[in-house]
Amino acid sequence: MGPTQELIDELYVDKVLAARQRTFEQKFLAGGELHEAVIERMKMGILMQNPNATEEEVAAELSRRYAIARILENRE
Amino acid sequence: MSPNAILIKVVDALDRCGIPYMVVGSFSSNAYGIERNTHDADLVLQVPPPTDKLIQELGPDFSLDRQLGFETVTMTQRQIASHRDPPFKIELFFLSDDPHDIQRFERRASGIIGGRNIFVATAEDVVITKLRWSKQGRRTKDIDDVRNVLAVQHGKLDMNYIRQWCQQHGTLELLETTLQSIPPLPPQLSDSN
Repeated sequence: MGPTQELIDELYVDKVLAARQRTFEQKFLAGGELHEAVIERMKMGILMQNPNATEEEVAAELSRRYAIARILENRE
Repeated sequence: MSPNAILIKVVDALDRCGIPYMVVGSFSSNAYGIERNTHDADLVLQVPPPTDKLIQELGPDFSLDRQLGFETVTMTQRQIASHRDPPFKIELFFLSDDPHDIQRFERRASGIIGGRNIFVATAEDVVITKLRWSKQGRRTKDIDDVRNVLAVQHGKLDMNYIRQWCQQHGTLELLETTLQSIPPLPPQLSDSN
């Protein structure tokens, strides 16, 4: 059984109220901070799959995966 | 360099080139709504920048498309500035002669980000534009962003202004459906809007 609409609405209202507590600047910068965290995880994933990769190879693979992520985001 | 520092570096470079701009897209909807990850940043520039000067101002970590592209969702010309490591793209859209594009640029607001003034589209114009893009590009994330801005900014928005443009863009029904999807907010935070 999935969550009820009432629960979904309650969780959404909580998110709205939390967002109202944050400043314009905090929220403006949050997307970039989240992206930075995603990039770090992508780098860790590349190194796990390719433990001997050089910095240049990691950067090249990161650029390739970033390009794919942008395409997927714009298709959503 | 973080994506935020990359964006601020581009904004500073535009300032030095004397190019009026405003931040649009997910950075603007995050500022007024509920934050989400973003893979790039979007700016609208009043006039195309002098490419060589902008490249010089951005420095060696960036590359800048020399040829203008055409973006099919927004139907405007753009140039892309790319930061190499970490990879992050800044899409530079040029102000078109579209009446709403012109008005939203005139209404742009400024906010203090990282100790400097940064120009950002207003919350009303974020809603109007994302509804329009959503209709053209059928992107669900735009509707989510619109819903979040409407919910977080409830009571602070000029709904007459939003409805007037949505009427012209054929997105009024989409706006009303999105408004209806927002659950009732606690009384102390709701108002007569």
